[in-house]
Order: sequence, then structure tokens, then C-alpha cells
Amino acid sequence: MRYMLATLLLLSLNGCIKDVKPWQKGIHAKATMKDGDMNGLNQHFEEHIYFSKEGTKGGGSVSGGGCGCN
Amino acid sequence: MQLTKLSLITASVLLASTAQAEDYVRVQYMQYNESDNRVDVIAPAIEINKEFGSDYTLNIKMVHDSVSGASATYSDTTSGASVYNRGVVANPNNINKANVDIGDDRNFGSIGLTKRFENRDELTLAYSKSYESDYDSNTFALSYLKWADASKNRSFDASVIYQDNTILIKRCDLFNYACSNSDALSGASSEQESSLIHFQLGMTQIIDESSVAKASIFYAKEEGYLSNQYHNIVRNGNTVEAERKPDERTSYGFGLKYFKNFGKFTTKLGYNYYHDDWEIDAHTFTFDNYYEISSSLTLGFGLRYYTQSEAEFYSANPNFFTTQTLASMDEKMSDFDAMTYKLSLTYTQNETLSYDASINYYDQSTDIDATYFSVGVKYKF
Repeated sequence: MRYMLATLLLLSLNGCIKDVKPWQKGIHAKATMKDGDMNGLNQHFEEHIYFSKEGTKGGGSVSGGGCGCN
Repeated sequence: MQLTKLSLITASVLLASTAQAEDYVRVQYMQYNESDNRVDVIAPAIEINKEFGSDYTLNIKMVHDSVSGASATYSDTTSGASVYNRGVVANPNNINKANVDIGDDRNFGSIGLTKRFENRDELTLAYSKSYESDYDSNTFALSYLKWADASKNRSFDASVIYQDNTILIKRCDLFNYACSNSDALSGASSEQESSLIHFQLGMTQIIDESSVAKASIFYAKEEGYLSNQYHNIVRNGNTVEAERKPDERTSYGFGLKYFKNFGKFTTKLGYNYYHDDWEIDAHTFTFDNYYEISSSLTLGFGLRYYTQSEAEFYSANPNFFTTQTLASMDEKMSDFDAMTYKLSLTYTQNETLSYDASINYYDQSTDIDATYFSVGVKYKF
């Protein structure tokens, strides 16, 4: 949590965050800007491989917000 | 077979894909091949995503995995190589790593429903089931996405996942584990249980018209039978026994992501930190890129680097374990790193049909390296 807050605070302090209006979110609606693989089945398969071959699991990000266009 | 089990569906997969607001059917063929013909997996799959008005999305996935091949573990070869030759003091020359057949089929299905409220906050409920001859897994997931501002530039999300697993252990009498089933003492199969609960909090912030940042933290707790029944250890250099991992595992970590679009080019950077009380620390770096060659053709390429430290109860040395209760020679518990090289192509034929293909190479600093590829078609309706 400390790292998360620190990162967002850093961005805020630098004035990096803009108030992007809904009509300015065309890029955010692109499939390439979607979190995770563009193909959910590929992502499923890949996660299984990592789970099978590596000693850790957990922490994969939930979808979160994106373009806010749904 | 549990040795190469591909059954845990993580939060990202179970909850991430349900929020897409479009109707489609996707059919995919996926294949995984390790070098030296060790493990091969063929996995046809189908996904259906259906909108009901503008407030509900239903997502269904089904996968059938067919696993074949062999995996190496220590065996007492005095009377032939069998993973179940355990507990007998043997000539050290007869204790060798031998391949164990790991052929099995797995059926997986998941269903997720997303509800959008008037303020467009999202609630997602999901369930998945994975079934193999020796493993049955049921997962329940719940997540909530909260928009924090009127422009929907910032959102918070929270999720909880609960998983219940039943493992069918063969030859429990030869097992370094307290079999609760009395039948197991006669050598019959015994059922063991394990469970996982996973909490995650996340935040997504749109930075400007072309970039977005995400951050998340997670906490997970596993309990029950967490060992692998097909993995052996060597004790005193002369006796093969089943491995024994702890019956509990607590883990936590965080993740950071940053996506940036440069016209036809999009790049995604990611980092994940993981720590657990088995003393494993892991770092994952991802670098994914997409280039829109034309309006119908998108090229994807990326790298993933993963590194972990070894668990406190792991050793690769056959002379290491003497009286320790917890002991594993499972290479997944070792200190290693891994690199994945990714390449993909997506072709959109028209508004309803698109095709994709990907090929990936996975190289671990242990002796594992593998190629996996995927081809599929997506039909929007």
C-alpha cells in the first residue's frame, strides 16, 4: 500500500494527472490498452503454465477501471 | 495428474474478462510443448461473452486440457522405477531421478456475471470448476469496482477469491503425511483437502489521454494438503520418501502497471512483488507492446522476466535431508529465474470476424524450456 500511494502521490505532485473528459478517451477504449492479454483464453492458458512451473501464485491484478465507457 | 497441474485460475483471469461490453464467441486451440518431449499439453477452448442490456455481462469459458509426457523425480529403482517405492533403505546407487508418467485430462469451466449500477460501478460474481482424475477444484470470486470521480478517471477495486480443492492421494500408506482416512492405511486412495483465500485491493488512474497507471496489493492464505503426492525426496542419501511441504502458506505482495499509447504503438510495463512465509521472494517484470500495422492487423511482442528465491525447506542435494519433517526437492521451490519471449498477430477481417495467433518461448534457469502457441477465431454477434 505504501508503494502504491507513493507512486500515485509522485504522479500527483508532478502534475502529471490530467482531468481527461469522456470524449477524450478514444485511445483508452482501444483493445491494446486493455489490461492483460487481448485474448482472455490465451491469458488463462499462460497463467496456468506459470502456476504449473513456478513456485508462487496470487497477485494477478483484477481488471480495474479503464476507459470508463461501459 | 497433479504433478503438472494446470488447475488454479487466478484472480486476474477469473475476474478480468467479464467486464468487456460486447457480444462474442471465441474459439481457441492452444498447445504447450516442453523440450526433450517431457510434457505436452493440448488445450482447445471456447469463450462466450454476452451483454444483457447495458447493465449485465455474462462470460463463460470452457477448456479441455490433455496432458501427456513424463516428469523427473527421485525413485528407488531397486525393484523398478516407481514413484511409490518409498521408505526402504536402499543402495544409494539405486536411487536416481526417473521419469514419472503424468498423462491426464482436465476439464475446466467458469461463469462470471457483471452487474453495472446506475453510477456505472461494477459488481462481478464468478465461479469456476476444474476437474481431473485426482484433483477437483471449485473457486468462487467476488469483485467490486468503484468509480471515484465524475469523469471516471480514477477507480478502486476490491476482490475476494475462495478456492476449495480435493486431492485424491494414491498409496497413502507410503506417504509422509497423516492420512485421516483409515482406509488409506491399507494402501487405498485417500482424499485430502486444501483451500485458498485471496484478497486484493487495486487502484486505476488515467494519467492523460494516452496513458494509465494501476497499482494493487494482495494477501493470500492457503491451508491443507499443499504437497505434491508425486514428488519424492531422498533422506540420508539412501531412502526415498514422499515430499512434505508445510500445511499453511501466507503470502502478500503488490503490483504496478503503466500503459502508454504512442499513436499506432502501445507499450505496457508491469512489475509484481511476491513474498510468502515459506521464505520465497519473487519479482516479475513484464514488457508488452502492440504495433498497429494497419487498421486490420496488429502485431504484439513482449518479454516477461521472473525470478524467485528458494523455499526454506528445499534442497537439491540427495544427502541434505536427515531428520527434517518438512522437506522438498521440487524444483518449483528452488532459486531460479525464467524469461518468456512473446509474439502475436491479430487480423480483423471485418466487423464480426477476427483471427489471432501467438507463439511464445519459455526458458527457465532450471533445465525447463518450452514453446507454447495458440490460434483462434473471434466472432462478434
